[in-house]
Amino acid sequence: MKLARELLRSLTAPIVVLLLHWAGLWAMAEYRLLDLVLSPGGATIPATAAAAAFLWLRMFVHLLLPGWVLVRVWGVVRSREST
Amino acid sequence: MSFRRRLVSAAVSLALFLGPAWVLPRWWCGRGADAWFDGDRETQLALARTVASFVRGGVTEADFHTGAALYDGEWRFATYQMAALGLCQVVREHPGLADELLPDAERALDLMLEPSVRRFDTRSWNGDDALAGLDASTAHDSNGHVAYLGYVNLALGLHREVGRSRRFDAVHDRITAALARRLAASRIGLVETYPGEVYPVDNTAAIASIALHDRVTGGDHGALLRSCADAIRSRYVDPSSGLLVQAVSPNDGQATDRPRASGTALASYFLSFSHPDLSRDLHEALLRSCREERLGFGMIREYPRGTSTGRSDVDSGPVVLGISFSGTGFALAPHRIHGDRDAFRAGYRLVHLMGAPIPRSGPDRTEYVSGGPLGNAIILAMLTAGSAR
Repeated sequence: MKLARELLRSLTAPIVVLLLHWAGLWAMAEYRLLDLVLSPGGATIPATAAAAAFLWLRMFVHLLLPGWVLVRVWGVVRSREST
Repeated sequence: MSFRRRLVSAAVSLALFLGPAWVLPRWWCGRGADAWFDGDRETQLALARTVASFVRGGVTEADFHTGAALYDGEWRFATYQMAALGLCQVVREHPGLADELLPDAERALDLMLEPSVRRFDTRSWNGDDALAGLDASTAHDSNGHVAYLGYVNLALGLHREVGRSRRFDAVHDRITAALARRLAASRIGLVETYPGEVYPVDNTAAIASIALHDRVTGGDHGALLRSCADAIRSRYVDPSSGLLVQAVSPNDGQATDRPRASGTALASYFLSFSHPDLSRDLHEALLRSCREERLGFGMIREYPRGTSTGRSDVDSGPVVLGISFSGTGFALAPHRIHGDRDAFRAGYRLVHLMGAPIPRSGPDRTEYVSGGPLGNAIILAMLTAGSAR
């Protein structure tokens, strides 16, 4: 039970990032921001900033989030071993 | 904790953090690749329904934001052209979908033939309407209109191959005759897109459309098609990279732009309808000169490896660290056409990552979030290309 609580606590940040990604995906689909920004001449500063932030977040989620989850799980396991 | 244990712990953390990046992203982003490559009916239909809904809803120049009225008009036209090609390709692969998809393919053809949709071309030719001057006359034949006519004609030809309606046959015949006449009369083997502007890739659409017309009607432009292919090979393919030159002078055919991947990949797709060998050569040149792969994600450089990266423009789309969005997307078609499953898988992974496909309006529809109407139509056409197989 304690292990489950610790794991949940350590995975809160990755879960929040994942939820942010889904929210961003929904927003991009709804407001067609990526479509706008990828058109030459269509980019405004706020739209570009929002789209760039989303794309970086998407890259992070797809490329590095799995490793981040593993590191956090391993951190919990290691701290239990050392106590 | 000892220094040694801390060091081991840090090394394990680093390996755990970076290790999955070699395995999981390529698996996750490539899940749909084989279904597309193998022509899975439901996978194709889910995107085809989205593209069909864009056609039904109609797109206007205000839907695009290129910053230039000409490009907004081109993109509107290209949305309908790619939609018609993609929908007809799905029907060719799955004839049982004809009743559902052909009405929207025909709607796209009707829209492409509307004066308002070809206004960008008419304006560029100082009021000369491409469809008003199809019949033989020196005055009209000196105005090439090769992009508008070639792109429309290719879609008309593919529809004629798979469709049942014959109401486009007359205009298809007239456009083919005009293009054949203009190509035959050209001193440089190519025809202008706009006054003073010649793009080999636009001419490949026209050449492919003539061959497709021959195939569906039994016509014979064999000699012209051979001379066009010879001209492209000998004059407009860069000998060192094997890529197609992007633009040439209408006076002497000398290159006015560099050999580029976006035009080469699209030309390889078009030429698969008419000259499979030339299409394959361009595809192999793309792989040799422009293809990169990182963590299993395939990418196409806009300019050949070892040359300066150049700037992005309306043809290339965004160019990031030399990688071309358009080139990578267009290259999916020749990857599939020429049976290169590995390159297709790798390219598809990047399209999945950057295109962000999601189910929209129900589980039986897919939309690529970053595509909009044009991007989704292009993705459908490229992922369902396969005439040379």
